[in-house]
Amino acid sequence: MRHPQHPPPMTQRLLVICLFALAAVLALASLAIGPAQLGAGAIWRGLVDGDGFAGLILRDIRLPRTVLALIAGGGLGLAGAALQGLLRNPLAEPAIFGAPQAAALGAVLVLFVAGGAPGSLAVGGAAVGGALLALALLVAIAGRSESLTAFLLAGLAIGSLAGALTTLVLNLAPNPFALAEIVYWMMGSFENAALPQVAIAGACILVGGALLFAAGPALRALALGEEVAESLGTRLGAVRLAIVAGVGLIVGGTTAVAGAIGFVGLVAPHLVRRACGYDPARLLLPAALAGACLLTAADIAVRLIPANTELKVGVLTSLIGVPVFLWILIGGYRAREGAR
Amino acid sequence: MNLLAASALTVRRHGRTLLDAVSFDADAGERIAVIGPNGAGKSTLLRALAGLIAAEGTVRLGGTPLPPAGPSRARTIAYLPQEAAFHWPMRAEDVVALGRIPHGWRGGPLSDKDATAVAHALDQAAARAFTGRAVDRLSGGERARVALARGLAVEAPLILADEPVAALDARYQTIAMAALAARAHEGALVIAVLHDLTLAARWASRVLAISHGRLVADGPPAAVLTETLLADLYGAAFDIVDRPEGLGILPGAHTP
Repeated sequence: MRHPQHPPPMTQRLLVICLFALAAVLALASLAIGPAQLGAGAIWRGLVDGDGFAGLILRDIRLPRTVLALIAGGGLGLAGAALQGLLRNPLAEPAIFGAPQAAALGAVLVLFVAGGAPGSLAVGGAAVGGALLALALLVAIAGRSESLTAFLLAGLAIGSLAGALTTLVLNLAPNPFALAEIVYWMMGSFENAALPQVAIAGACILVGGALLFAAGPALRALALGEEVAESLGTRLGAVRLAIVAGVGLIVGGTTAVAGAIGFVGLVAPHLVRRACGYDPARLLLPAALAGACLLTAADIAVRLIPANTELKVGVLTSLIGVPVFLWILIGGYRAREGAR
Repeated sequence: MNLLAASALTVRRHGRTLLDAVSFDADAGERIAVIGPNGAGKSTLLRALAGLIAAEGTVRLGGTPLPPAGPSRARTIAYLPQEAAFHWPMRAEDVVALGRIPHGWRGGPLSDKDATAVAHALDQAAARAFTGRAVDRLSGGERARVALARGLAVEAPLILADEPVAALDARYQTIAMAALAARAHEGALVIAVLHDLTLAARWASRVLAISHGRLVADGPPAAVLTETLLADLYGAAFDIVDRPEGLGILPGAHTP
């Protein structure tokens, strides 16, 4: 008996292989591009031997930056896909309801009010705490309903709250230097990536990612709504908890070391969703790979775009992400609502 | 031993009693229609039986208490909600395959057993024609057939269906109810909430009438579906005609 599989597993495997290859190419490009002009030979020797000027540039600057962009992008793409699966809403992007802003707020509070050191565990913990708080609020308000309105209104409220608190911190900033530091933090960038930052973000993304992949199969049943998912054996409470914790860890861990970077979690799943047959569980790995490619490409772009100071990568992702958000909202989503 | 035994099933929400001490036993192979006016507690009864809402009293399956949420309970009870929701435009056959999750399907290629169950369910629910099509491109009635196939694919010994034919035209109402009857014939217990009383009279082997959360009548269709009882139940008059193929129950007749 023939049962057509859509899409055939072959397509899925091909997609994953292509995305892996693209990520590898982008990573090499990211290692090769920077203010210091280095030839291919110098880059190779710098990476392998780590000697001299090229070694310094590659091992201390470009390699951490590239690794951070890859894992942060992968984590954010995965987090977006998982959250969208949980809320059954293609617009459920952490930046829409201010999760990165809340995480940045937590980090800024520890950095400038409590005097924590950049790249310290306290900053990471505060950022994860801020992201978790925003997520828990969202899931508490809009988690049970599939209504787009409930999600957008809850997002608006939480985002406004995070924005108001950030403004409060800016208002209370002790001096102009702290003010500038905080504003830069809010923009998000990989410029200052170093090993401790990579380690903190990497640990958060690893644990968060494991939680999300473990909860993944439940997202498939959730495509039929919470009641039917439960009747198919899904333990809703555990799934909700795992996804909130996983997304909080990833968004918080990324923000703690790179500042607020939004919309990767919206754009990356959107790009690969159709190729995955709209299966929210099958989507997770391709969405993570697409996120890694996107953010690494964005981080290369900010180095190539001529400007007085380097453009912040978080600014670029928002500039790309908001129009995509509007496009999904106006076009695709309205069509689906109308068909219902 | 009965397949299903509900005893003093009671559901309270916000100070209101939605389901009030409902007790009944049912055996494999029975076709039970649950009838009653809007808001009587029919859907609440189905949810409580499925273990989807907290309820006082007990539900026993094959003599043992309802297991906690998980694959074992999911293999035993197939639940079809009143309005099927499809939140992603997945293809019809992929949606039906979700019914195999309780049997351990994790998204890869279907095993022979799973593929057979999916194909059988698609055929029984007359949804085979929708394979390859995204569910958001189907009409309401077509989606209801895909949802029914998804429920049948679970191959559970207890099927709880909340108004499975409300969105279907006359032809597919007959096909869908025949599919559920076939499952009962194969040994499943089927409990369906129905608003079409003629359909209930002709399809069911037993009718449960619910009013204000209470079970007010329980018996074969001819015993429950009487003009007096229906007038009491719905506060409306019915004209009941006896035909060789079963009762015909026409609402809005002369006032008795």
